[in-house]
Amino acid sequence: MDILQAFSYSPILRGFIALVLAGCFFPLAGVFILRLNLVTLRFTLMHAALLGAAIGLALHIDPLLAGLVLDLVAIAAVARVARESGLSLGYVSTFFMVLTIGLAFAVIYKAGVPAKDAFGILWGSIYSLSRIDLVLIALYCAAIVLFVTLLFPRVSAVLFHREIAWASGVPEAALTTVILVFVGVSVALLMQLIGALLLDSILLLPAIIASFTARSTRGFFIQACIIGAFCSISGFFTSFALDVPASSAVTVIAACLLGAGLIYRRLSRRKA
Amino acid sequence: MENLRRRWTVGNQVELTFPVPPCIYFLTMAERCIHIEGLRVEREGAEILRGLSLSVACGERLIVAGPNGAGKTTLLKAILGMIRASAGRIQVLGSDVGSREWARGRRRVGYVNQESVQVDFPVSGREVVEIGTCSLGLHRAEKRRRIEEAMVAVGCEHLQNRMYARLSGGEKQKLSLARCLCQDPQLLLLDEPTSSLDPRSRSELMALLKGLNEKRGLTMVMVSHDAQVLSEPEWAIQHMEAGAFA
Repeated sequence: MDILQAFSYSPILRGFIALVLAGCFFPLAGVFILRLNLVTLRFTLMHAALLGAAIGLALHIDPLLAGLVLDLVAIAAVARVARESGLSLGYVSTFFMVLTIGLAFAVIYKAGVPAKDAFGILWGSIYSLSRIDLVLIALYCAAIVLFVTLLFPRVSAVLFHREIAWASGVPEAALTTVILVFVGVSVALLMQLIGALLLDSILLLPAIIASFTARSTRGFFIQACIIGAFCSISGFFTSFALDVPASSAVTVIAACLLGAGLIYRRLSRRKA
Repeated sequence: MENLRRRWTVGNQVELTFPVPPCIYFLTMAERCIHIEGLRVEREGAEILRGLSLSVACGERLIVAGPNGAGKTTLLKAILGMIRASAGRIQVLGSDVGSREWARGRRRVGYVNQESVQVDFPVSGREVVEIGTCSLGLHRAEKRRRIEEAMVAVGCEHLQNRMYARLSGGEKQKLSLARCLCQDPQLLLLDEPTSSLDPRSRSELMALLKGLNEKRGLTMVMVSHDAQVLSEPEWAIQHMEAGAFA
């Protein structure tokens, strides 16, 4: 089957469009994760989604929707507890990460939910997306692009230093909450798209590579998006050419670029 | 005028006046930049600030000195409104800290903090200065003009395209000052701004601060335990120890 023929099948076309959109714009959330040190929060969100899926299956609700709702609840809880307690987001995220996975296993056991079905949320597929999923991804991309571009100096201030942002009159608490919501929704959507275990290839790796080459925050955001777009588009076509899963191809390409980025960083530091 | 400098100290209550006669000072009490009465701050049951009172007139330069853990940074953050007081009252530029009026005028207070930003985060010098303009609602041209003027005033225009993480401590502090100047502040709060500087950069920064104070009439309150800074002749010095003025 050639590529043009493949695009005549709507699941493949939808998957391609979703992958390109995610590759172009989800790395914006990756920049937030890197800069605000939300790597632990990412795991918390995966575990919260698993808990949501377990609850959804137990109550006969859409597990993906339940996972998304639980992610948003987890974010609100993490943000609130961190603010009230003065603890770092990393510590609070770790607490909720352990709590949600513990509760997920308790629900799976008590409600007699097939564990395989609950864990199914961790394995996404770009070819199983519905039209509504695609619309959701497109809306999310539009929202995060508007947020970063329209509020760029304020977002940049929050990413630079939260106290300085506050002292400069930026509503840093509100912006941090919005950033956390973007991170939560991106994790939930990407789990459906390429699966929890591979979402880093679109979310984080482009941002990490861009951090080696960018010289400004603007450049950081733009380069992360360009690298993400390259990984997702080239990954899609490579998967066709080599007959491997698209998510695997995207991940391997992103990992190769990360390796190249590390070499570039070492060489540029040696020159400096 | 230098001989007219006065200071009254009664317990922890400190009134500072500078080159004006006392009678004129009392007539212009309304122009106090900072007025603190009985400030107490507690954290996790421990009393960090113990009933501090302080008045700083507009245009003054004050150094709050003291050992680590004396409560100097807490005092600055309480003045900024970042930390809530458990008792007492803080007035900054005529507004009670925490009030709506104060929240609207928060940008009139510039803050140069102690810590450096995390290394390796890509942010340019210009972007750091731009932070000072981001909540002012300025048009693009006006914003650009303010950023350029502030960078020229501090002498850091050559740093605008440099990566912040690769700058020296002195260069970073210059950018922080330029960022504050963009806000067009009336009060500058500086938290150990010389702590990571070599002697030459320290002297340059102190000269720069003096120049800004004289040209723009900026009130400055600096927290420091740097011996070289404390020997500066034209700054009033207030010593703090264990959450109270010594």
